[in-house]
Amino acid sequence: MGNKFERNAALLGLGAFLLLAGAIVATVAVPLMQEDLYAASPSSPRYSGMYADGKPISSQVARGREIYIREGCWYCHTQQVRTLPNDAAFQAPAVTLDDGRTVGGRPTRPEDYGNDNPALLGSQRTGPDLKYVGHRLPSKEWHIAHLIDPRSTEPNSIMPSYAHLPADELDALAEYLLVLRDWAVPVETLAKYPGPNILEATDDILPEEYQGLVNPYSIDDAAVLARAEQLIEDAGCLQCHGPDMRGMTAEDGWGSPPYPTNWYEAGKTHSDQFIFWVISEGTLKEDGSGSGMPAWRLNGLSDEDRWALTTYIKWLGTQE
Amino acid sequence: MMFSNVEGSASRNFFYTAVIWMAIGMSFGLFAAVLLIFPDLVKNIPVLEYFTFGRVRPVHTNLVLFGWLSGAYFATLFYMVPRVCGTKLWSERLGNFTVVFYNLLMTAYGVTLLLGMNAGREYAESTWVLKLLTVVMFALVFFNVLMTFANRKEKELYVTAWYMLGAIVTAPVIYVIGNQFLLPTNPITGVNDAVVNWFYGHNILGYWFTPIGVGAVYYLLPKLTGNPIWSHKLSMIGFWMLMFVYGPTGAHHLVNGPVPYWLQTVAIAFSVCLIIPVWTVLTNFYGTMNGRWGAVKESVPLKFTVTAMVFYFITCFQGPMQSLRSVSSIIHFTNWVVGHAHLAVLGTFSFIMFATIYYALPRLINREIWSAKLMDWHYWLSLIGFTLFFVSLTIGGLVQGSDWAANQSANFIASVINQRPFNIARAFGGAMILGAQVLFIYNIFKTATAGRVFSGESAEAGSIVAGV
Repeated sequence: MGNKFERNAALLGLGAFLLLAGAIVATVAVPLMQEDLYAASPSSPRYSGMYADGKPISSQVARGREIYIREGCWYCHTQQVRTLPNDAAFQAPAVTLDDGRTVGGRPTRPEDYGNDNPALLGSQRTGPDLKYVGHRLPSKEWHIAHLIDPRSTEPNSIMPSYAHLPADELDALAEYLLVLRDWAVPVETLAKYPGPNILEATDDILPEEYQGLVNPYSIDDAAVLARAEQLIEDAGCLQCHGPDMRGMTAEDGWGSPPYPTNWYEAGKTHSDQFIFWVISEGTLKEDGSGSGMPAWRLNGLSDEDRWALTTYIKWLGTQE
Repeated sequence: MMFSNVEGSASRNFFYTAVIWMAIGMSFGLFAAVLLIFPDLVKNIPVLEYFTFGRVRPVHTNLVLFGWLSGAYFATLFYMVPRVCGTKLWSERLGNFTVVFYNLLMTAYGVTLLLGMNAGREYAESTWVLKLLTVVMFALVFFNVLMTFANRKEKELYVTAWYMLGAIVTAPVIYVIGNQFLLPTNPITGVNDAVVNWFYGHNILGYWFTPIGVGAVYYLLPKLTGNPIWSHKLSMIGFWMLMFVYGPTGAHHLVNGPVPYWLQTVAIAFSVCLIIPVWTVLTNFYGTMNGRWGAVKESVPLKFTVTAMVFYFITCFQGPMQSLRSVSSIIHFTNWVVGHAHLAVLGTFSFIMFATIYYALPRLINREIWSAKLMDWHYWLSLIGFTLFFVSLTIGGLVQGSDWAANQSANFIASVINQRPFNIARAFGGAMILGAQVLFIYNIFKTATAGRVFSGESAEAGSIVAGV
């Protein structure tokens, strides 16, 4: 048999082709015939009124996606949460609905991609996964500031600056990033917004899970205060809260309210639990409005870190 | 006619222009590596500010894969196929026309990708029209080669011919399916788009870059050592197993991801089976070296070939292991994979092409390689630079994957900070690799313009060095 293949080029070519054809049938054609890969999913933007016929109905979102592709964002950011604990931080938040169903809080599934064209699953995570970034960072202002100067929101970021893009392209990109979320999770369920003026809000609006928590640290603990100072530097808090930690207003060049909070004030007027809550959950509304304070619980600060920061702000409240 | 009909001219011209594309493509790679260290390098510089990592990376991958490696492969086909067929290339004129066509097309690749005309699919970034033209380019080459086969005097097909025929028959199928049947509308969407993308992304390696590279080694080794191929049976097993096993492996790029579990399992099983053709081929190569290992010292082409065989062994041991769910959970999405990919296309197949050029060019233009010393420098600088590059990406990848596993990605920025030393070492390695290629291209240029007349016997058994 070998001899025949070694004399007849056409036969050899046919043999190679048939072997490959088997692979094509098994791993390309069969998945294409699997209807459930296209099944409707309430988690996919397509089915929640955001998209129609696979095309986003907001032209600005569609444009943002095109820019995301054009600038090659997808080379460094995946959009798939794997079935691994390693990817836990990239899941959409788990929420129990009134009817007892739990939504969010899971890896991505085939149906979450609807008929995305192209599907932007990505292959490398130089930067974080973005499949559900709209939950973690729901502020358009934050995204635009981050795109213009990534080092302003994360000093250690190695993302390129997109300051050279026109304002409306940045707006489109931010719009696109905000719709990257699990659309089965209702928007209002996630709202934990303390109101536009945080200093006027009181413990009355403190969510249940934050009531009764005890700060493990004391404002007299110099090690904790030093640790907090390091965290403040690493996280870049003072980019918004001002180098003197007294917040920013229109006078400091901050565009419009809500203004970043004065920590000296907050430390005087608010409880440990309230401060811990704001640091943990941020001050963003899930619909994208609100201010740019991220939910640090989801952005790399542990419980201990956030308590240390809380302690620091309480300590500032005792200073002049 | 404006296109030369001189024997060997098409192969020579493909070699000449491919090395230029290599230098351009690698420069973009180095630029991308530097951007990861200095992200604000191009900020506020008019025009340059657009060339961020995301714009530069596809230029690098497309130009090294299609400009350099595929261009060198076309030259190799034009050089080796006529020789194993005992005849001339069917049409040098068509071949030289293809050289011009390919150079224009690669220019269009580079310009469109820099302008951000990106299709959003990895290794299939170029726009629809350019994909059609890419198929035309491959068709022009393959038609020429197939006509050469049809006119062959040597009836027995040598192993190199099997591999090259195998690639010619299968690679176009992979390309056309992987690029969504070349339709502008991209009919395959959702996760199936990713499935098809990786069917293409992995199999263009399996059915184009692998068979031509391996086929070239089957040609070079007996020439460089004076030994016949060690085992005919192993050659057959290696070839047919490659054609059988490679196809279903693409989905191992989506392990633990949102594609059907069975598809991942099939991909993993076949990926593990890849050990069979690879080790068969390598056993055969090492067997062929029997009694001739001493020749490695004297011959740079043999050095490159043997080193490529070592890298091929490592990359093809990594590949099956990486596909396993447990291993993938740590190394997937990390710099490890970048190192692995470079081990295949740079450490293995590009090294084979260096050997091929050093062997074939003197015979094509009848001149000795200008400087044996530069050849040696090219080898050592490439080897050391690549080793630094590969080791830093591999260790960096393990650190990166461990960072994510340790805190479930909650403190993601820590993994970015921890990559910095590895990114720096990788850029240094990359700079050495590029430096080596500059010496290489200079040597080629001097060979073409000032090389001494080639003496057939001095170059046999790799004694090109001894002849200087």
